[in-house]
Amino acid sequence: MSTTYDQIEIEDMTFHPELEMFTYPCPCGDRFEILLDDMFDGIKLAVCPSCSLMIDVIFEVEDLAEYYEQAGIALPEGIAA
Amino acid sequence: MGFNVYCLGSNGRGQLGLGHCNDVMVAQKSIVQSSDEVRKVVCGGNHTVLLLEGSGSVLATGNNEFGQLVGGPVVDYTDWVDCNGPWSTPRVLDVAAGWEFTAIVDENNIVRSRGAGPRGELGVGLDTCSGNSNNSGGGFCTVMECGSDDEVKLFASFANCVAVVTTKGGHCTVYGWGSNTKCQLQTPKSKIVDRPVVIYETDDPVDYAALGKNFNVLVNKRGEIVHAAGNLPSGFHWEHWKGVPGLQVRCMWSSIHILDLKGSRLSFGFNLHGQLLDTAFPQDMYVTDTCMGSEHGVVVVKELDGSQRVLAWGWGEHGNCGRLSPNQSDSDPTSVINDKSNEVSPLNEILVVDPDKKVKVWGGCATTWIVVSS
Repeated sequence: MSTTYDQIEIEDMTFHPELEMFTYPCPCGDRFEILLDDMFDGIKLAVCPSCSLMIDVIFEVEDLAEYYEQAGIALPEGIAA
Repeated sequence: MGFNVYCLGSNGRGQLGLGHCNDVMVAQKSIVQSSDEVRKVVCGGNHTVLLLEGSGSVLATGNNEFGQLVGGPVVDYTDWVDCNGPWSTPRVLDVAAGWEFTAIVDENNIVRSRGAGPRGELGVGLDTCSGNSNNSGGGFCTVMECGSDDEVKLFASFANCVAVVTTKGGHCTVYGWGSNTKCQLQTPKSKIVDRPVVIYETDDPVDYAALGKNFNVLVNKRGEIVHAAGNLPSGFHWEHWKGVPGLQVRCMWSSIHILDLKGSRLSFGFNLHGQLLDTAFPQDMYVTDTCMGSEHGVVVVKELDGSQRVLAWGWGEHGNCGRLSPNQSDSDPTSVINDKSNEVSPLNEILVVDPDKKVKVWGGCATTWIVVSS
């Protein structure tokens, strides 16, 4: 059984190009956060800075290409554009 | 008439209206009012809006980053703001709040919205933020104009808003807008529905909508579930409840809770933090009011001797389900600050109220609201 609060698809997350970060509302009022580069490195857990809850982000590495583009940074090696 | 408003829980942006930003785990008196009654307390992610019965006055506090409360440069209000003046709306008929937005029905039966709506929550097309500008609508966008004889009720949660519009003749149209990634409004799925769409239509008027994070449930005036859509909690099949009258349906972000006429309680959804109530809840308790926050619940129970107790359960990490220690005294101001000692709360007493008082409860994002009228 999963011990994270929820599983959230990447399309439901909000991307902040200037921060190169995705966020998603936490039931405490703050937001779960995860960095684009961390996701490329295989991390799937987004954490809330204000409480103990975490979510699993559901995505494929290929999904990240469009967000690198939005942030205006080069695609890391390993993602097909 | 008069009332006291008590609150506890998450308060990082001043959403409890206590003049500070500390989470508290003992119910604190936030407002004392000498007239009117509280009709509704609605909560966004970090803002709280309170509507008074009769006068249609609105008070609000908390996060104002996107103008979800009023115009102007203040990012967070930690004390209550009178909204009717800044909103140029002498009388508000109904109000709802989601993550970073507020929606109202004004005295002309116009549905208006303000704040941020990146997922179409403002219901006004591509505009995703009403900003802090003081435009002609007092910072509001106009969502839809209803007939002057229509009864209009608003409901919101997370990234969705629902308006139930009933004509004098009894025809009822339910509109929804906001996120549609789980088909909570319509099929096929789409990321955003940024203008009101009809999600249900009937001649058997809908009484209210109960909204979760990715789903909504409609209940008619006989207390029957007539519609449910979206990513519904597993095990909940609304068809199973079809035609069963007298239900009270309440939703947390990730769960549905149903109280039936016989006093039975059934819930469906996430339970990692003790959110589901059917196991821990004694069946002989007489419940007079129930409300759900994002991941916790609040009930008012009446004892045989008439005494009333307010109880909370579920995810209580921000102090929103009270403290488990029997000493609930709030005489020492430092002892009310949340110490995170009640993360997964059993059914827990948070306030005792005199028998002759009227008690109503509401829940927000890890916030708990208790209104006691004299």
